[in-house]
Amino acid sequence: MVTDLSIHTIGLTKQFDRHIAVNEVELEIGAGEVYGLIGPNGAGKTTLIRMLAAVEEPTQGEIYIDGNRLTRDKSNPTLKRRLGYLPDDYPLYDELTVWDYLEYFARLYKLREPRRTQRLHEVLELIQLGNKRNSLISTLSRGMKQRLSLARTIIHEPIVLLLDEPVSGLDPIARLQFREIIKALQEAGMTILISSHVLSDLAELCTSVGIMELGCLVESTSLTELYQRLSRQQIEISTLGKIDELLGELKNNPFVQEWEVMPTKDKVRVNFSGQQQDCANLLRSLIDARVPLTNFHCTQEDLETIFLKMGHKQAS
Amino acid sequence: MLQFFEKIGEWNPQFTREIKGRLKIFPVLVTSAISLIVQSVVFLAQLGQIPGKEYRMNEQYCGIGKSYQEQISDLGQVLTKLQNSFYRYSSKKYFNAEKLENIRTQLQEVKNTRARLEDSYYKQPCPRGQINMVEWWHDHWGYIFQSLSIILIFTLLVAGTYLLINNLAQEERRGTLNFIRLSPQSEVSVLTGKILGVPILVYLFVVLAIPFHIFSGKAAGIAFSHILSYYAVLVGSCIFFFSAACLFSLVTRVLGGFQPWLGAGAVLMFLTFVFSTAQYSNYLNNGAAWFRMFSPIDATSYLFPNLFRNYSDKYWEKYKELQFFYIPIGANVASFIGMHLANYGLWTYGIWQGLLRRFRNPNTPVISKLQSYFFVTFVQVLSWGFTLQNVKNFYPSSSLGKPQPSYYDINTQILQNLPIFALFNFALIFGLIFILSHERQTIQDWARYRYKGTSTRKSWWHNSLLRDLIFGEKSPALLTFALCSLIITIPITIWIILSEHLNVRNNYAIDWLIQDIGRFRAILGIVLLVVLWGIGATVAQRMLLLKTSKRYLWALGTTSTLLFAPAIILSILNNTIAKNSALWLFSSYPWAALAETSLPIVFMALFTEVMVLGFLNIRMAKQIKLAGESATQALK
Repeated sequence: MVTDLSIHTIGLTKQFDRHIAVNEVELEIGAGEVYGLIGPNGAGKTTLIRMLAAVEEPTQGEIYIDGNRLTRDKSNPTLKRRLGYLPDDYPLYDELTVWDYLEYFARLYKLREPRRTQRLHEVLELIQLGNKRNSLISTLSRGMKQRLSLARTIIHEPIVLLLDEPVSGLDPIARLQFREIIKALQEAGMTILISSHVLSDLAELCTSVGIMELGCLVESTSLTELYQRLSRQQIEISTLGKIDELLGELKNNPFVQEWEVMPTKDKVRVNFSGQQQDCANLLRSLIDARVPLTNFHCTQEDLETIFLKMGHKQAS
Repeated sequence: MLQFFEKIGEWNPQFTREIKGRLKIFPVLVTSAISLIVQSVVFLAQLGQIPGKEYRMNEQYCGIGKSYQEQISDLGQVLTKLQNSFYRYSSKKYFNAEKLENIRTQLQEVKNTRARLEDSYYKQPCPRGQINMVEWWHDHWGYIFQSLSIILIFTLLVAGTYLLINNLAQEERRGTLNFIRLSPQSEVSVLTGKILGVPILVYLFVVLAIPFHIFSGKAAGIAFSHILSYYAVLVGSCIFFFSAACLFSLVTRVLGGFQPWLGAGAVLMFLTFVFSTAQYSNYLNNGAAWFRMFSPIDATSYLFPNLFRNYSDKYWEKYKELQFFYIPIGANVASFIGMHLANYGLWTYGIWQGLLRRFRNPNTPVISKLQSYFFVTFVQVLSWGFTLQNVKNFYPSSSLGKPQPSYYDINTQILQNLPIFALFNFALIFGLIFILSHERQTIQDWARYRYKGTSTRKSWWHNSLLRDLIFGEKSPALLTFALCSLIITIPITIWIILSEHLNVRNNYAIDWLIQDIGRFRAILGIVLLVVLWGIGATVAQRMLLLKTSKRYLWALGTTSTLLFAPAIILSILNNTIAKNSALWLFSSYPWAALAETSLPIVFMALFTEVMVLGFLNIRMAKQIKLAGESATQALK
């Protein structure tokens, strides 16, 4: 077994009656990666993550965490210490305080003193709930509860983190805080598998992505490669003059493949196949043609566009 | 103190979590207060009966009352003598007027004296100095001790069971139990923590009552070893009931919020039943004694014979006669208590096997197929062990006054226990059908992916379908039912074969078996019944393959109708058209018709049942194969 893979599955299958929720998935996630799992609802993301967390039993197939086989019928105490799982619903004990809750799980994961208290402080600082340590869980907001659940998931310093839609239902600020935490965890060297519908978040966090559809892993690659392969360069150009003048100039450039006039009639989005130098040449030619430019902005297609272009229907 | 908690926390985090949430000042104070109030009420209830000014001479503890009683009875004898003399001298033969007059005067005097004595005896208060307070206290401390003993049993078992089931069911519903499952803690550690921690306030209630309990026991002159034995049985029963409560809450999730009430209600009813029947008699001389021994009440009654003294000493003596495979375990305290503890121990061990399986994986059957064979055998050993007991002769003499040889023998004993066998084994088979039969998904996965588990390097047996059907975790369980039915019926069949030789007393007990039905037909009846069970199990499995989500309800309905409805309907009709009708052959009690029906018809019935069983199984095998087809195959 290749040991530099943190998560490795072979022919992982889960069948519910005739419906195959996860179909022969061969997942390979290297150590230290942040892997984003995307796909429409019902594609099998949650089932896959549940199997990886040993919550659900696979119908068929094998799971290796850090090179060790994970099976559900054994206790796997060592492997369990390496895994952290945050499900999409996150039940908590409302009657406990934040500190007692985390201390309870720290004990369950066999953290000893003085390391335990130290770790509790570390985690509370990371999730920014230090000032709420003595509050009852029932009094926390949704975002705080979500962060507390994440704290529970990482209290034992797992090597592999499995997060199932961790930002769903959170406001933008809570999402931002959550992203910061994930980045910090990645810096700490954890391998993170994260499923989400918020693709902009994933684009910011992930090093690799996998796309699931109808139970199959149809795409699994690094984010840079995905962009290289599927993302086209686009240029947004605005003018104060007539739009036809601008379009006339664009037609002359061999790297301009197609364009789209924006509804305001003063802006065009151009799909450009040339390199950076060609881009500079285009700008120069437009200026030379005295087109009154107000904006010339090179961008790349984002993850969501790539995803939609691939023919998948993604709800965000 | 903090360090102590820290140590416990290291040892069992679950226990620490449970007690931290519960041992708060207010609940602790309330529990302590309730415990003290209950103890005071028990004490005051006895104290209220302390002899006062109104205590009459005829009551139990009045010392002088006894001499009054003796005088009254002496005077009674004198009266009888005088009356006899009076009759003698008033007869013609011995007539003597002077003596008669004399006797009449004496009679009057004696009557007056007796009336005076009786008046004092029944109406006058006992002089203070004459009341035997030492004995009164001795006996009443005994009553206090016994009341507390029973209160402790009921409180611990009923409240503890309720709290545990409620707690586990709640955690399972909320989904928090999953996180505990995912932690590296062992199942034993988590569940022990629950059992020790969840009912902590009930334990507090009991612990606070223990000093008073021991004190009252010592004051009543009860041996300390007996008190300790009582505690041993109480602890054993707690471990057993609480483990069972955990298992119950893990397997009956479908009941939802009704779980704790059902579980604790069943325990309460069981204890009440044993408590109320223990007062009048004991029912340990039968094959269900092991079941009755789940309650610690009989052991308590054995240890403290005064518990039910008001009713009869004779019944208590029956505990002494308890045997297991003729081993006299009731003869002394050690073996009687030992048997209770062994019963708890073995059952608790079995329950924990199920707990470990079920806690780790909530979708797995509570017991594996291999365990089911051991379980069925274990129940048979217990039932037969408590069936084979000696009974003293019920009719010590005949009408002629000569002592007769014992009417009771092994055949009578087994015959009387047959209904108990039937009840427990029906429940056993019925339970196993629902525990071991898999639902659609599992069977489908098994049929689809079974071949992937086989290996070419291992032996034929290792890869064989037969081995998979007998021991496999996910295979259909029909062969397992067949084997379990065999384990159940073999001992009874052996007895039927041997019964004639066992009839050493030459009584009429087995006449119906030997003469009316005949042993061969009786065994045919067993075969018929086993085939019927097979059909029931197949139907249940078939129903569990249904696509509807209510498949368990369907399986339960059809199987119970198939197994029980014919017998019920026929017994209702028994006095009219269906008396000993051959239709009984297709019911759960085929013996009703076996005596009257000719052999060819019996064989025809058997043949029909076997054909039905075969047909159903072939159909189901096809269906399972179909379910296991890959999606590509299904498209063809």
